Amino acid sequence: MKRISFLVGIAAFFAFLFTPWTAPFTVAEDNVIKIGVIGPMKFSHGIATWTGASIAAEEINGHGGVTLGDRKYRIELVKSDSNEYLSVTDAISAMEKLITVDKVNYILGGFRSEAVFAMQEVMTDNKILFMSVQAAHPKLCGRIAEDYDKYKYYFRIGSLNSVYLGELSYAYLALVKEALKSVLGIEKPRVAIQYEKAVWADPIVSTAQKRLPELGFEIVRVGRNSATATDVTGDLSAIKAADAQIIWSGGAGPVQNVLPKQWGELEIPAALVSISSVLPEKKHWEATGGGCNYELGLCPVGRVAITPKTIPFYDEFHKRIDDYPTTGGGIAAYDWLFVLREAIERARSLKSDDLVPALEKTDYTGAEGRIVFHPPQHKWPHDAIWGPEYITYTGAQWQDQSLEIVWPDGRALWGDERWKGVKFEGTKPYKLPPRMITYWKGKR
Amino acid sequence: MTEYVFWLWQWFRSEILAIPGRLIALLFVLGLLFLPALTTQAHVLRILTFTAVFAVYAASWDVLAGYTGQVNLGQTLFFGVAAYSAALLNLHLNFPPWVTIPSGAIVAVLAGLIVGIPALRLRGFYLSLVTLAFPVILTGLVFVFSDVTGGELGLIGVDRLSHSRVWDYYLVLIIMLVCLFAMFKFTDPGSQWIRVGLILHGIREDEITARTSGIHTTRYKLMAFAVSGFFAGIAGGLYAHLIRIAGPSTLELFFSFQAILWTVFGGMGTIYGPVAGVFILYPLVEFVRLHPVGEAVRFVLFALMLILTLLFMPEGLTTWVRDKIEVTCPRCKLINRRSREHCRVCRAPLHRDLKKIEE
Amino acid sequence: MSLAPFFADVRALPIVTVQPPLEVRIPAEGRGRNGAMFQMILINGLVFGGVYATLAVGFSLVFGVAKILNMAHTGFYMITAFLMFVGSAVIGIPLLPSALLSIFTAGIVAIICYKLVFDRVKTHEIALLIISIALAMLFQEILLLIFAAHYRNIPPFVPGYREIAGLRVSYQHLLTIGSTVATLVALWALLTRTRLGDAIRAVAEDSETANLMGINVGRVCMITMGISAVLAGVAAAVVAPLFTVEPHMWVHPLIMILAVVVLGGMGSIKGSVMAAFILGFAETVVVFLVPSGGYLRGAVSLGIMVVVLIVRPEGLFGVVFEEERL
Repeated sequence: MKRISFLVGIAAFFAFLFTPWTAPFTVAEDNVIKIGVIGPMKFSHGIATWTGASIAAEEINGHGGVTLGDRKYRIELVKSDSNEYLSVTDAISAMEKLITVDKVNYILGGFRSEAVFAMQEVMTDNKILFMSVQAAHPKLCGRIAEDYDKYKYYFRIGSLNSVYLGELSYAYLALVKEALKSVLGIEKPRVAIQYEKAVWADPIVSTAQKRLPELGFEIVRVGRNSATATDVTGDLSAIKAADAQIIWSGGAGPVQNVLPKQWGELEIPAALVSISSVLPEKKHWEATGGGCNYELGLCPVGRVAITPKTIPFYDEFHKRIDDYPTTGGGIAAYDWLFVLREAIERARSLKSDDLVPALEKTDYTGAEGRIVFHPPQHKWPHDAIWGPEYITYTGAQWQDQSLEIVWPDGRALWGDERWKGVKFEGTKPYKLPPRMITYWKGKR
Repeated sequence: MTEYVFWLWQWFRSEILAIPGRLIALLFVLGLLFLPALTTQAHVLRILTFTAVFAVYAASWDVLAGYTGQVNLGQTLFFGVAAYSAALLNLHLNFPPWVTIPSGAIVAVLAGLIVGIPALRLRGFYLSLVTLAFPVILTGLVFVFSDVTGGELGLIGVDRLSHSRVWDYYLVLIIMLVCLFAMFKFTDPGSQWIRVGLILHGIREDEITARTSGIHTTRYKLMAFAVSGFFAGIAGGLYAHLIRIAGPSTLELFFSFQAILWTVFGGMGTIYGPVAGVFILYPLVEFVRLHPVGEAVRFVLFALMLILTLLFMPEGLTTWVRDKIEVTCPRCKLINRRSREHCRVCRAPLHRDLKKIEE
Repeated sequence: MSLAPFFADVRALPIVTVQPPLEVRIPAEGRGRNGAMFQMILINGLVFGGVYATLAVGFSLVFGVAKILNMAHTGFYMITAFLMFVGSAVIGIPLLPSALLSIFTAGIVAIICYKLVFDRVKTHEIALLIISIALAMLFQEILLLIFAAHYRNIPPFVPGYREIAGLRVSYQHLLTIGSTVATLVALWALLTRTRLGDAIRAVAEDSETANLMGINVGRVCMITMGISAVLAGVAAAVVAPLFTVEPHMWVHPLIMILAVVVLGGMGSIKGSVMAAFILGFAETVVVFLVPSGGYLRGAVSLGIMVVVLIVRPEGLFGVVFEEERL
């Protein structure tokens, strides 16, 4: 009797759950453009992307929507949790569901590279536009060069592929080198590399080992740690023992919170430069217990006037979620909807096949910067161009609980004069950690 | 000729129609075969294709655990090894899927033997712990040798299984049916042809007695590992070609537990148990996504259901259902429909009322 | 519809400023990288070993007494860490009371789990194993639902650090090592000096005879479960400020303590402690000395476990279990 009632209970519960089944199987309505926003919605990245897209959708719909011929379309967003950090199968399922069940016109998302490779296959099967945001593997765009017709539906804004990432980090090192010279009189800084052990990071580290000496640094130690390491005090002690003045670190795993935390706790007297996805998050401060103070690193966008659209978006985002829109594809998602609208109006069609050539002609100044995609002949087609006249990204430093933008600072970048004068209103100067100044001055 | 058909029909009537369990299985298989006539929606077909793959995977676990009593906590090792092997063969040597999948399965068999050897000396918890170690060790190695295995990214660009979704579905379905049938025959204690099932049963019940009866238990236990590895490997190879990548997600510990959870829910010690478990739970978890609240609580529900099942129905769903609809005749030992009064062959009363006899 | 945003916007607390260290003398031979290596390994090995020892002892205790292989043991460890996070970061209770409260709650949760879940399936071995896995998964999923998968941070009990022989050791590290010792001593005292301890040891040794002698076996099992969860909680309380707190933090420690109890011998407390330190050091050595060692952490320990199981299944101090008595 108990078992029967148990089974009946389960059956009833699921019957109840399934009654809204009919709703998702609807046909696409008229005058609506459905965009599926897919991402790890339990993580800050997915939430940020959804928020950025929502702000853009509301803005566009508020100004009459997308005009095509004599009809006005409004944008409707469909949220889907890909759970891609935990299960690639889930991600594919979710994407398929968006396409076949919710019947979206386009997909916006893309975080974990392993999952996005698989999602690209779904994109190819359905010939649907995939507006990618965060997944940074260069091969994701490199594939387009290998098989254009298959993968041309993939475009990417909002992430720097690993090659650009390396170059960008040299920019931050330039800042630190300048500060070390002017404040402490150090001519050839000693750098300790402490990078995450990951496939995407290997080329960055090996390139750096060649480039940094050319740029006037001395490499005193190269360490690699696992993405999920929970304790790096050993490495930090060794770095201090090696008398390093700069720690150059990077990665995407939870260790990127642990490293600055312990760097601060142990008061290591070296400047920390991090290429990590967690530095620009608002909760980085409390995740490191304040240890990240004076940490300098990658920040896709900050509260500076990169373009006139940046600060209004920044504030709106901050109002909705108590976090900075640097997290994940927040700002990229925002810009994407406007880029999409432009492309639709340029192509005069909603079909993904027609939008591909239209998108390739994009030249739009969004909140993140000037968005232009690499042409199909480039080795990474459909990737947003990084450069002084395009999207520059910024360098940010935590200064007493506040994340300040310190780069671009208007100076030429390692001799590249194009960067001269590129400085956004609101940028502040870089500061060395005070304990470092005391330590190294005392050493003299 | 007509006589032949007649006997075929009689066989069908007595062996399949008369036994409710088998009738349900038949209807189920027919349902799956004719499903594309009802709907060719890509999403539904994809879910069912994956369900079929996972059914083979779960059944392969049951071969070890249900039939030989060896609880393998690292079944995903076979799955992952086969997926990676199939992907490597496909990417580097350009072998087509119908070569890579069996090859991957054979590599998985080797893995199975490697795991089986330390397991031979151990029983119970210790065995389970040993099996747990292997996927973890392999995952570590995958990351260390990342230039071969692609590290955390895995191997990408694996060929498709076939050129259309519907073809994929049927291919996987047929392969699943063949695999399940093979596993069933291998483990069936009642089979006259393959005696292995009976021996495995004996080993599970009482290994010492089986040994004293002269059975080479080591050999059979290893054989069980090999067979289990083979079919889990088939599932792994199919999976790699379906999603077209092979990454460390195929070695995740959670996936090992999935096999266990599905099988226990469906009923251990049977082949149709894990199949039922997968076919009920996996699509359920996927379709619950459609409900907005459901999407967030999917896995909480999954874990809860499992705990409740184990508390109230530890022998599994299918066993419980079977008990409700079938009964064995006390005299001739044939399976009958429970609602019958008398056995269909020997006419003995099926439900003996003890009180009446005592009067 | 997840509850994550509710907890996502935790206001930054006024952070306790890092105290200046008591000793800042920079040793003369500060450049000796290899010299510092040994101390690094020593300290880290002690920390990890201590944590694993505390966890493994609890696990071993439950296994020895109630014959339950509780895969949800590190789940209680995780629950304590999250409760501490909620206590200190969300509600704002100071750390020590928050920790004590969380540990106590974890114990209660464990007892409830025992009564509702474990007790019912005690006879069915495989079901027991699987249900404990399911329970651990349930904890993980519920925490994921409430807290999302962000990595959380708990401030250290004692901020600051001390420079010891060329190595910067945070006070939290030292606290971890100290509390491990204290906990194990307290447990030893409980087991050997109190009546409850006698009852526990009796049930562990021979539950049927203990039952015949008038000990309420069921209640002893229940209390043991609570004690083991408390031990897991203590481990969490001291180590959570060092590690990140997130809903998957139970997996790696579980793998490690499985290896530990096998190496030390199932059901042997002494064995668990020794094995925990051995494996803690092994893990640390691998992480520091082997390139890409970080990925091999779990693999190395489990590899050792496999070897031990093949060569000497009863481990260092274990008792060879006979088959079930009929």
